[in-house]
Amino acid sequence: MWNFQEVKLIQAEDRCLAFDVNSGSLHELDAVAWGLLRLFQDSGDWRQSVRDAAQLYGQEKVSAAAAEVEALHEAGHLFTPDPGWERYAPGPGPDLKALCLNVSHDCNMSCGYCFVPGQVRTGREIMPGRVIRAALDFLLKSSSHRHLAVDFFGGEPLLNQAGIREGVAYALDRGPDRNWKFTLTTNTLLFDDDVCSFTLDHNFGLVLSCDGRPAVHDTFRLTVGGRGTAAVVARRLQDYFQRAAGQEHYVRGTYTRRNLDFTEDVRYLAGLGARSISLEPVVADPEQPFALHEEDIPRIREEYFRLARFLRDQEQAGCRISFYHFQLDLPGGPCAAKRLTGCGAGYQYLAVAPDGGLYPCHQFVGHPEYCLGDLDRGIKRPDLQEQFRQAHVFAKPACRSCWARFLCGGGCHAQAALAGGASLPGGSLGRPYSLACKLVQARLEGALYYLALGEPLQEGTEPAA
Amino acid sequence: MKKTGHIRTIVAGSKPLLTPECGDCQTSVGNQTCGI
Repeated sequence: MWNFQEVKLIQAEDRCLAFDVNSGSLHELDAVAWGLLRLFQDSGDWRQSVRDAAQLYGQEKVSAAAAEVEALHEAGHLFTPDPGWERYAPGPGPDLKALCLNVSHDCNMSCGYCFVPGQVRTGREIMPGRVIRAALDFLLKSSSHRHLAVDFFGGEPLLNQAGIREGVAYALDRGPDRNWKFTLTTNTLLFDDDVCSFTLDHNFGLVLSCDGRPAVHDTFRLTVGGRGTAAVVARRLQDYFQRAAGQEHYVRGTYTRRNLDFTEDVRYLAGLGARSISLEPVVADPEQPFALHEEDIPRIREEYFRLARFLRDQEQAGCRISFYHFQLDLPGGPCAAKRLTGCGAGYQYLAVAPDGGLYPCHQFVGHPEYCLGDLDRGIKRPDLQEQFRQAHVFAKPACRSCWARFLCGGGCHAQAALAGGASLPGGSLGRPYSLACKLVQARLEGALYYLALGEPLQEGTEPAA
Repeated sequence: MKKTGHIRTIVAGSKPLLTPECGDCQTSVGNQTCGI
């Protein structure tokens, strides 16, 4: 009989949803169908569940609901069998296609939750031009891809504007046959008209950091001298929205235990004019007072549901806001290999430190045990690189039975290896960080609810209990 | 679905196994789009 692990039931506010793990189908259930599937979830016996449900809801209604469940199963949209992807074995390719250049470890801010290790921040290194050129040569030499991506990151990358401009010019000169995609992650303090023009000229994607309401933003995002930055960032963002409508960008913020009502921060950012927003859970040592804990998950799940409704209400009022993690493409989306391997850190994506050190991603910079090599000598830890390549969904016991596995991709390697930012003993690429899993699951429930809210209740369908 | 039904299909999900990994998608997965 069917395996209930392959269907996730979600009660979101007044809606009851069923997500079919192996097909990606999403259904809304009325009270009868919900009750029937809950009974089946508890008992594992379909025929008995139908009989028990008939006692509660009446034979005629339950027979009709059961027939619909069976028809959806036959159509491949409910209790869909496992597609057999567990046979997946990572091949040698595709190869490197993206670099994160830490062009400046230096920063003009001192954010309380910054994940960059202290010794890296105090080093204040700036990536010299020769390292930037060597990194781009390394990417061109390592990759046969037509599409190549380079993210300028920090610290605050705009403390090395000369390096960014040199890097873009060098990439376009040395790889004229490649389709380059540049991105810039900035705290916006130095994002003036000149920088804006440069990013527009070269079709940059921008990640602009702002946490939302001024009191929230200024809790953590302070200058090195300890002053709040909310007012100047708000001005920078408003200037940018007026000037660069249409440029690919996201306003990206962090929420912590101190603002679990983060829908209000999305509301604030929308009021500034932001139409593409990403708010993400803080990555922090669990001992920090602002760190998230498992006991916060129910509250966070409810907040994601609240956010979904807020976004749909805004759409009804004519204001469409793209919340990054709610943008799920269930009928399409990436291929199976991508779904099973996640971000590609360690082999498709590498971070380069100012000294030319190569790391699996920007979150590993400053952790020497995860240094893969350097630009002068190339990859010197192919064994470690292979560990990242092999850390796919079906290599992780916790992921194999998780309902979110094909939407998540196996979780963040850095959080798994560094155990949530604490560098706790026992961190492992083969075991996702439990708290991060629960946060992703709660967010995905919110994303599925957002999809459901986009469809009006159909006439004749009873509202779910 | 039937108007009088108990279940409304919001998304009929789906097939990419048939597509070899081309590698043209952006590195970051449910939020990703296919590179093809």
